[in-house]
Amino acid sequence: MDGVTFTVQDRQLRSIIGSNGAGKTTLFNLMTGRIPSTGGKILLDHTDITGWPAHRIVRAGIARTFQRSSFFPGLTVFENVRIAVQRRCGGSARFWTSKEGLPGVGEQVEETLHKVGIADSAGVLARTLSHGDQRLLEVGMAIALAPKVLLLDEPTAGMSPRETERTAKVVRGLANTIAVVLVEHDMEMVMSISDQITVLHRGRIIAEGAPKDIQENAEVREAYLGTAA
Amino acid sequence: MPMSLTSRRTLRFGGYGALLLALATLPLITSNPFYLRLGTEVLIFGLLAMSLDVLLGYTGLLSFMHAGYMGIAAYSVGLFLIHFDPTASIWLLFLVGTAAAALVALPVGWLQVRTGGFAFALLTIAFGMMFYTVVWRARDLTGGDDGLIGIPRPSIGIGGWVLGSTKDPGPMFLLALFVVAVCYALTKRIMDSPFGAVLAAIRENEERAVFIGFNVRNYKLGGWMLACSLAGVAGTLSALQNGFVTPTMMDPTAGGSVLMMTILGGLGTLWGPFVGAAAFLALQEYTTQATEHWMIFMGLIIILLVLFMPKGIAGLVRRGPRNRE
Repeated sequence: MDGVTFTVQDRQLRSIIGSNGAGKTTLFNLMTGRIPSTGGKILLDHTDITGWPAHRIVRAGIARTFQRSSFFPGLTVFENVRIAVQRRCGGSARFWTSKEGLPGVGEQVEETLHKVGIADSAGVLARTLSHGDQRLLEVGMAIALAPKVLLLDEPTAGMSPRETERTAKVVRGLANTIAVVLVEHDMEMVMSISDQITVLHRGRIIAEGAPKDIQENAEVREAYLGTAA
Repeated sequence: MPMSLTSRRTLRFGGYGALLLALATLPLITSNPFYLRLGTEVLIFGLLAMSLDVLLGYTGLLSFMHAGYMGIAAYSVGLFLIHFDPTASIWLLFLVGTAAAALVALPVGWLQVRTGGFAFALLTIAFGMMFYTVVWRARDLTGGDDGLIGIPRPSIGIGGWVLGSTKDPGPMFLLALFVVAVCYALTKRIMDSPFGAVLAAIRENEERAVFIGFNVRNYKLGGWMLACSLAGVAGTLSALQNGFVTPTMMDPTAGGSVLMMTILGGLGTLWGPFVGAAAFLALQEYTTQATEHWMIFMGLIIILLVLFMPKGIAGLVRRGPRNRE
């Protein structure tokens, strides 16, 4: 990464686009403490969280999804989300109460599953979900953490058009309450739901602005969209 | 109609109680010390295998030398009886054995949970071999090769009431049954708790657990400490049952045997390992009587069982959550 600076505001959806190897996922990994940063700063609500261990960053309010779906394959869909809700509500160190007995957790899990549209699959093992539903489950787990900032790494990769549409709606809805950073290859989706777009090329920002500006930006067209202006 | 949670719980609790009662009648049915001692052995190794299940089946961490912690407890209890108090209360002895295993396990675990997967498993071998060598070499204290022999046999009782001596197979069986039943119920409850749910999450996908915001090292250490403490309880029972402790209890073969019992019985069930221990010990008993090359046959049978029952014996009975067609 080279001199990449950007801010995400509350209730804003910022998309990050760029060709493969531009550094989109690396950026997420730096922001979430998955890889250590060698320079620069990451601030959350004016608190410097650079160098914090990953789990603390999540607790501070940055949740993420992964490019390759990451969930708990051998647990039910309900349990996947329940664990996320449990983490947020506290009580995870309790070893003497039933996990079903945590007050209010069950309702919040149901609510989250409805939000991402996979409530019908609550009782099945996560590994048996369709690919698209697995991506939605991961989004659901991230939402259940009630983050301040949500980082979505190609949520619609491999989804059918219908699933993509549903995901776009969910993501846009989220951005009306929290800050969302979206890495996505589906240009139609990016252009239609983003507030701001950042274009990365080889670890550098080459353009930034509203969807309309980006579409008209000559440098972007050349470097990324591939169509000579 | 699905049964309500409470009625299912009542049923499970009732079944558990009935099974315990049935097992408790064993000393009435037979006074043959062979069967009683075998029964106690199954309970002890079942408990050890169950404790390994907490680690492997629930938390997803592989320990090759789990029996080592059983050995540490057994030696500690033996030494306590020999050097401090030959008539010590057995309940104090359980405290001594469990605390000894836990005390050793804490720094080892602290180090091991900083790793995962293969590194974790390799470290368990390294530490296990170290403990084995120490016990084997410290002849003055442990009796070395010959083992720690002539451990005093305390009586089983509470307050002024005495059930019998640990030397007697019947009372010893009942003691083991009681202790194991309590440990099972405790562990079951812990595995069904929010804490247990986090352990399962770590097993399924450690990185995801981190990115949900769990400090996974602490939870892994919790699972490790629970597993090693339970192994300590098993070790205490073993010292009481046998009246001697030998270093073979802590060697790699012992570590492998426990692993086989656990996997044979079925991971992630807690009760499966008891069935696995019973099957393993019965097989061992039978094959040693039939041939001196029993290990070959034992190995073959286990290879077949693992190939055709990848989910263990428990996998034949247990129904998981429904899979989507």
